Amino acid sequence: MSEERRKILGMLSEGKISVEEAEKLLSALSESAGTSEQTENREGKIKPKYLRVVVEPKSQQGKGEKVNIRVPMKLLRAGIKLASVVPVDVQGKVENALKEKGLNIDLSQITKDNLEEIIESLSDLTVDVEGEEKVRIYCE
Amino acid sequence: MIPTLMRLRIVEKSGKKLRLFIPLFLVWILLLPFVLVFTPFILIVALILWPSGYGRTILGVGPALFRVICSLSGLIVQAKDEENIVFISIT
Repeated sequence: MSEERRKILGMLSEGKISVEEAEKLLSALSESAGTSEQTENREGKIKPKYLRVVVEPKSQQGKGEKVNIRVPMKLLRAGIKLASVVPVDVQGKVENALKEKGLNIDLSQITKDNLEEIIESLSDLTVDVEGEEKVRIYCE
Repeated sequence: MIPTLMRLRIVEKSGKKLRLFIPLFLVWILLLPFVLVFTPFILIVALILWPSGYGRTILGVGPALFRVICSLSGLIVQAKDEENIVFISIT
């Protein structure tokens, strides 16, 4: 039990505060504790350095294709920066080509801040697909 | 940091093996004079094309490409099928 909580309960037992007041104080205390915990988690989160794509055959006999790719996150950032200098009409062509492949991405909407958000979200990403081959995408 | 070494390994089913260590720092040193010679021409072309909007692109592509090259260190690509093995590592 924290010192603040003990003090509130002490004040309640001494009759200095009412039950309602004590409840309010305790809930305020737990809220502030939760906020500080969240901040600590966000700050303490280690940024991923690499994006890994691993494809392995399901059978263990060594047959089938194996792929192991490690892409540095800074390469993703640099790629986006390179895309930002591409002229608008060329970006349109790229977007159309991506659409044909089933990827509906508006390249002009990807900014530096968006990119950081995407990379931050990637740290929680793990994709496991199991079919004839086992595909695993994750960050490390 | 700019990558300094590239390792390339190809193993074919026939038994042929190719193992290369490419010292990229030498490649950059060899490329540097070309970059220095061509930079003024690139600037002139960028100025000429500035009204069309491509000038900004030409000026921006160089540093952006350099950033991409610098970000390549740590890249590993390893692919293996029943016949071949390809391994590329840039450090």
